[in-house]
Amino acid sequence: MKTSHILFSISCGLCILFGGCVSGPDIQRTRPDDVRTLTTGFGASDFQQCTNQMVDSMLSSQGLTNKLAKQFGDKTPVLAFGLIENRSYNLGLPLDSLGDSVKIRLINSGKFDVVEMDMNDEITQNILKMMDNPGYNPADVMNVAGRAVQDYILRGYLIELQETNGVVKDVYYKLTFKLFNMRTGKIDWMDEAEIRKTAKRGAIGW
Amino acid sequence: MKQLLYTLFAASLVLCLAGCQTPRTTGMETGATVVDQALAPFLVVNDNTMARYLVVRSANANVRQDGLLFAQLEIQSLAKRDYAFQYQFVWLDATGMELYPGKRAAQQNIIHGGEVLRLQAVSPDASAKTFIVRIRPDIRY
Repeated sequence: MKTSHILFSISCGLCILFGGCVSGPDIQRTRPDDVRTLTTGFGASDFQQCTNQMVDSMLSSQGLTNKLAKQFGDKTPVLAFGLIENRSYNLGLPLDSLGDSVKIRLINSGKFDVVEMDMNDEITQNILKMMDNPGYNPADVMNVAGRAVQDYILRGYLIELQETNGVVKDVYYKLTFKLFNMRTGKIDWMDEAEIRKTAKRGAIGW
Repeated sequence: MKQLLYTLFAASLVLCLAGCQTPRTTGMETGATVVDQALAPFLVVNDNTMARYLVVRSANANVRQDGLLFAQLEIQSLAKRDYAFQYQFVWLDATGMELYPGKRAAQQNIIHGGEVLRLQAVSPDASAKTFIVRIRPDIRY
């Protein structure tokens, strides 16, 4: 009985001793291009993955390359970047910055001349309004867009879907990009980047 | 009492092992391509554990109409279960200089058991002449 008391006291003492060594969070620098999956939220790695996927898709699209060659020849088309609309549950996502990452890669590729888009401009507002209307008439866009500087407008949407059964939580993100041709009023390219994350509660624990 | 202890021990062992188990994802697939032996001199394996799960079957690249380099790496899983990994494309110009170092983030993917997967990427600009793909196991934080 006495021995067990002594052992218990020693183990308690050791716990307190080692517990005291934990002085604070372990902070270290990491590479910004490394992948991290910490939560089911839309994180930095998802941000980078979406950028890579969308720009790769756009630059490698043979259909778009053919259309550009046919319509513009040696001239580099001018592209304006519209908004990336956030339709996810996380309203604080800096999607403007995702747009900047896409713009950087498009500028570096030399495939487009990229211009900033004046979102307060009346022509821009009208064009975007027409584009958001699923039944838009390409001729109407062309009428308004005739005065615009840009040949293309790139727009995006991020959506989020969630499912859970109490044990497993499934989160799905889809980023859609549309490239509107202002001269023909048609969508010349469109693609989606998808991310799916699952969080499972352990069989033991709470 | 002894029997109860044995039962408890067995039950805890089963629970522990069940926690580690991921479902098998192997299936069937047709195809006749053999592993490209010409790749061998260019393949650097630093992780023998990973090399037991993944094999590089082929690497392709072509220059598009607009001068951009389009690269593809075909990998196959030798495992029966899912294998999570990260990959990163690196682009080099004609002189061997890396283009925009550190600007292309690694991407995460999961390969099912026995599956053949093609990883693709497009060079950032037309000066890219060579590509390197780095693959490593996915790190859990």
